[in-house]
Amino acid sequence: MQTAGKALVYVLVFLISALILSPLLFTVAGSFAVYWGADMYSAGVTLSWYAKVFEKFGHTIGFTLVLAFGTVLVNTVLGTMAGYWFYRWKSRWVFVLEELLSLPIAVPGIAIALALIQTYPAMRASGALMLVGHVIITFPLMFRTVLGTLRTKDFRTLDECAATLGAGPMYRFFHVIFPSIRGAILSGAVMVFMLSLGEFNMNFFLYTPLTVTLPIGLYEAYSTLRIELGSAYTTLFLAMAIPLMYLLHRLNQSSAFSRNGGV
Amino acid sequence: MEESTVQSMEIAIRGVSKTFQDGTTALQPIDLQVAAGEVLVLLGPSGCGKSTLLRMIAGLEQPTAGRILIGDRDVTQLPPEKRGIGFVFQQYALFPTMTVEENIMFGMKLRKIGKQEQKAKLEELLALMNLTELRKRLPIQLSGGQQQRVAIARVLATDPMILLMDEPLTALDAKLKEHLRLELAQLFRKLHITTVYVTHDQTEAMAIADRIVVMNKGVIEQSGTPKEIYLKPKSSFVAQFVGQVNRLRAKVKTAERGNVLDLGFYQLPYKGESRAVADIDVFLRPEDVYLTQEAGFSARVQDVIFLGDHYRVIAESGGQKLVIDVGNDTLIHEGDQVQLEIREDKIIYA
Repeated sequence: MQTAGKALVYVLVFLISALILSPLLFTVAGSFAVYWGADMYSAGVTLSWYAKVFEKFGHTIGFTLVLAFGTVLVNTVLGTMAGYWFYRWKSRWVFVLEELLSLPIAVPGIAIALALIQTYPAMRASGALMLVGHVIITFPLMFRTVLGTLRTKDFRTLDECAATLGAGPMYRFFHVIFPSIRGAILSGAVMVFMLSLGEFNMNFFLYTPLTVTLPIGLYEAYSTLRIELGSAYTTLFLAMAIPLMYLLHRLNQSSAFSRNGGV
Repeated sequence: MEESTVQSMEIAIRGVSKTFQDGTTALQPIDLQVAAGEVLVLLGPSGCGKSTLLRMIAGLEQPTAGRILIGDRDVTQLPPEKRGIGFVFQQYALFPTMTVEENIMFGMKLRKIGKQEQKAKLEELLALMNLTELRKRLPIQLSGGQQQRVAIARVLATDPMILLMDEPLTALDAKLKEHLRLELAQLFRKLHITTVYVTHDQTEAMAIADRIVVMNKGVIEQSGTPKEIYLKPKSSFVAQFVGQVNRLRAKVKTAERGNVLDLGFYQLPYKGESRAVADIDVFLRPEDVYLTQEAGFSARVQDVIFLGDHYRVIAESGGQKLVIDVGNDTLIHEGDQVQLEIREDKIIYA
């Protein structure tokens, strides 16, 4: 009976994995087809779709990366500062504010995008508004990760201890607090990067012809051009996202959090 | 450690009080002077304000009123990093990402000391605290006792003008605590550095203090040498908090040759402050009652507890309970009738 139960679990796991992965695998396979009809490779195999992607959408990849890195940069500073500040701040209002700052996770991207357009119309053309939007929706990820890690240990005593040894506030942050939460910051940064990279919802309302991001380009490719081109585009996106996924996984598992413990 | 490198400073606490934001008063206005080189222990139950006072000397807490001076420098407004202090925390507070060496070097690097001198000092401290073998380890790889030794070495590395210790042994197990207590007592004697040491453990206080300040509910109950505190407690709180003590109900009565103290089961000459007939409480240490053959008074043994080096005996006489200590070679059993005598000059009238 036990073996049968185990076998059932394996079959289920396989089926679910297949269900999730098949569409992606098909997309990747399709990106190499000259014509993706009933038979995928009946018209032959080609790399020309990739050339087309770079030709038509090359600039979107560059802009998307700039946007994602910009978002990570801003949020690493903002999120870490806010997390540290919230950790040190003793008041019951902390929790209210903490929930408020996490709200962007629950609010649809469209709503935030529309609110941004109405509030800061002047910033739209340059693409700065997109950066603001990305910063807003990814901020909770960084902030929560840092705050959560700070709360698992007695960093207040470490901070006090460093002070009694003669270290000023800046020195204490960079030499005592930061090394202990570096793993959390890195992990937050990867999450922020990935979320920014794949964001469509908000971009769809904020983009201008000069600020097309990868997911928007992808949408265009699928809706107005050929499915094979879209597939090639998707494959490139996956090639960027998967290594990051892996890195995130490694970070969460490794020692970055646990080994430095023992306060 | 060379003695020339240590400049001992005195500490003056002038009218310092602390009321927390939620309105609780941790400390009534307190005046306290710690002499240069003195080891002063703040002793009291949790919540008596001893840790708050220590943290205010360190600058980790801001006093509500009053001034704190280290040497002749008013440090009341200075942050901890500008006070030239060393602080040892109960939870060790070693920096988890740094090795033993790096932890010890932390404070040294912030001071303008030459590289050579730093290295020499590190070696000296590793040897002094028995840490040489562990120098490359991370805190998580150390036992509690080892961690606390690193914490102490780290503090000494900065040549603090005063040393502040907040229950540094409380988190350790009993055997280790006893061992480290002895080490600390020796270290203090060697260093001659002004030290304020907070603890709730009176044995610890006795072992290391030049002077003990007993605190309760935010006020100083008594200040004195360990002997004075133990033998001449000034209040019933001090008598009961420091060491084992019997609390006995008594009556002061007038007699022909001066007043007598009537314990109900026994009468002794009264040696407290002169006063008229009254009901009072007196205190008596277990070691100040002893077994005798003649005279004394009779008591019934209720319980005998073997404590290794001695028996602790709980006896009863005239409705009053008496805890006494007798040698471990004494033949004594539950239910026995025994004759007891009191060292009358040891009775504490607090």
